Amino acid sequence: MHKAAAVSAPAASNKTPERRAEIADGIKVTFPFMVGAAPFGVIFGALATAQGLHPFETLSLSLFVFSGSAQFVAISLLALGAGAWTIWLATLILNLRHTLYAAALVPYVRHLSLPWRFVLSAGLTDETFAAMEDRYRRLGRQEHSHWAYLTSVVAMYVNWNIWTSLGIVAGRQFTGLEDSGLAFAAIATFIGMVVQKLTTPGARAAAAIAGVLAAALAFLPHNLGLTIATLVAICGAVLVDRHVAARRIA
Amino acid sequence: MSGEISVGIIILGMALINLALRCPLFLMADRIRIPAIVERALAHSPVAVLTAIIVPSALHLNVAPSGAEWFNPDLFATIAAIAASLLTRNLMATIAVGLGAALLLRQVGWF
Repeated sequence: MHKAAAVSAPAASNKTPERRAEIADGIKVTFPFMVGAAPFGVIFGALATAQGLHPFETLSLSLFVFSGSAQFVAISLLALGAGAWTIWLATLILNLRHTLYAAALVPYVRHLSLPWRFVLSAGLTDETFAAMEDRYRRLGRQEHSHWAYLTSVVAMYVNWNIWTSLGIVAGRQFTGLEDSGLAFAAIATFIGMVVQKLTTPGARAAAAIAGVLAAALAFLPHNLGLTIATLVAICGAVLVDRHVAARRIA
Repeated sequence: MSGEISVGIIILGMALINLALRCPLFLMADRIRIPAIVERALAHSPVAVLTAIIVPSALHLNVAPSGAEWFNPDLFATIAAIAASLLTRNLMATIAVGLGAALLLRQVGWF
């Protein structure tokens, strides 16, 4: 698929060209994701600003949280008047998947120094995971592969913050954005993410239980219904998975 | 916006949670093995939490907690987005259709 496989030159004496090639390929495999993230960055910046978040707070979310879906969830929940604990719990549950990503990439970073491993894990987004997991599977771990990974992290980070900033500028230009329906961009993103995952019985059970329970328990204070629905749905999905696996063996 | 706790503290907490989720496995690289059942639970967590956000917002349960509003632009936009996602399997197309529906339905004046 990618001609970059040629990068894996055997034990070259000069490190710089190899590193440069890794950096170039890191950009190359990350670029489609940078383009894909651009509209989200703009919408996020504009929406958060329109909802009344200070530009500094909005940019802080992109700078320090650096997780598109969690940032959208945070501003959606803030708009509902949810408290800190609801937002933190939603962030935790939503981004549990990042622990899975880290688990999948551990074999490829085990040999690196502690600072390297910290930076590469702190910047592990959906996009960089998708790009790097695919790349490691195709090319294996080469001596300088971590430079491609680092490049992907830095590129996504700079990209995300630039587009967020442009969104903040846009959000300050226009008034009434919060009632225009623009907030639905976040919900539409969530819908796309969920529907694409509904391929297994377990995932379908998770969606069904979470949807019904969240609606039924919406009257509970502090968005407690959201939390209960999520936890019950995860347990239900695991049970369905086990049931399916047991039937397959029988 | 949210009352007692400032947005800055919320952001700080979110940043720490994200680091706590992303970093430990890398930092302890070779000593950990995740049990299969935990792995499954982790895999299902985004679907669960996102659906729990989507459904109440589609029914406007957040703005009218006493009961669902069945006739609202966001419910129709949600249905349109689900249809687009099933048909195209494409995230950008889903967002375009859903957002387009949410913006346009507010303009036509049926709601």
